[in-house]
Amino acid sequence: MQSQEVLEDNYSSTRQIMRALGIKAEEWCGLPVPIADEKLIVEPSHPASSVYAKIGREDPPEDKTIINTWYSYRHRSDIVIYRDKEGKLRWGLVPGIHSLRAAFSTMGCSIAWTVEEEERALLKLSTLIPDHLFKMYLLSGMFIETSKRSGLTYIFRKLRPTVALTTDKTGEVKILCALCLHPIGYYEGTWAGSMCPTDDVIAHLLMMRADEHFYWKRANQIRAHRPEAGL
Amino acid sequence: MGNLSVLSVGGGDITLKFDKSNPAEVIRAKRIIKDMLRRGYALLIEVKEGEFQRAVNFDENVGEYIIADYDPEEITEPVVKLKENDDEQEEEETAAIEPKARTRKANQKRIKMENANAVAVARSAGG
Repeated sequence: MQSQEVLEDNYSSTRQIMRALGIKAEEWCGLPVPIADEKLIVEPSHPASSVYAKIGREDPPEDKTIINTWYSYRHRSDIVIYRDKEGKLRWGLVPGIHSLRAAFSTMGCSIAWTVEEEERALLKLSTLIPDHLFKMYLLSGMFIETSKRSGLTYIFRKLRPTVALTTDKTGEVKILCALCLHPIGYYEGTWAGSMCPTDDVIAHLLMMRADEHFYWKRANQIRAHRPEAGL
Repeated sequence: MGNLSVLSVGGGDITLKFDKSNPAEVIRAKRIIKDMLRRGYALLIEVKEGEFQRAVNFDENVGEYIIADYDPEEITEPVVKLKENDDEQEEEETAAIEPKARTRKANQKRIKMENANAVAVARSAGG
């Protein structure tokens, strides 16, 4: 077993400061930890969301106005129609996130969490799902549950969006979409949320069980073929 | 004794316990629950073992969660309207794929906070 000192990293003081600030500001869910070179997107009605928007990676100033954007299956990219600074209409391709790059960034975001909080979240999850599913989650990072209400099956995954599946009349399983949801905030271009990975999984699971309609409304529905779906 | 665990950053899962023999603690808990609902938290109340319902409100005077008590419903096939044409414009995030819209006829049911286990989830930033 490694000692506490070994498990600490350069970000432990930042995490401690954010924790203390969260308690002082009576933010019951705490304050997300900003990471250098990562853009933290905080839920817009959060009182500190505008402050967080100024921290982290800086986007270059926009000299164009986006008119419309849609996804092209053929190009596997978003097609963007925009107006440049001279007022001319132009178009361009914006490729989706690269899975490898997103995976690297997600690994980097692990400095925002502690082993202790993940351990507590795992303990909580172990009380919510049967033992065999918990074992499945520990060993594979995912587990499956079927909704009693809608009959849809969900694959809850650590650090990846939840996959919603349905079975048609012929018995064929189809992916409906991947559901992405992070309480409070997430790091843009990654699969990492501001909470430790298993807390995000618990949020997905309980929202699905408590109010499936609300869960779908709150989550971003990502089509299976898009790289953001993590499939 | 009821409790409310809050999924949180940093501290992990923090838990508030409601002991009705301690009036000061109960008053504080009521204030926290009201504040959470005002801030858009989803309060998910365990109604049976492993079964949860979202609280739509909280009655501070009597300390009760108000949940929507939906009629039991049968499993129905979900409505799927996936678009298959190439280069087709995607809709906004209120996407066309959703579990079949339920007739959300609901009575209100009340659950005393001292008897309930609940989990609070902060508003979502999407992803």
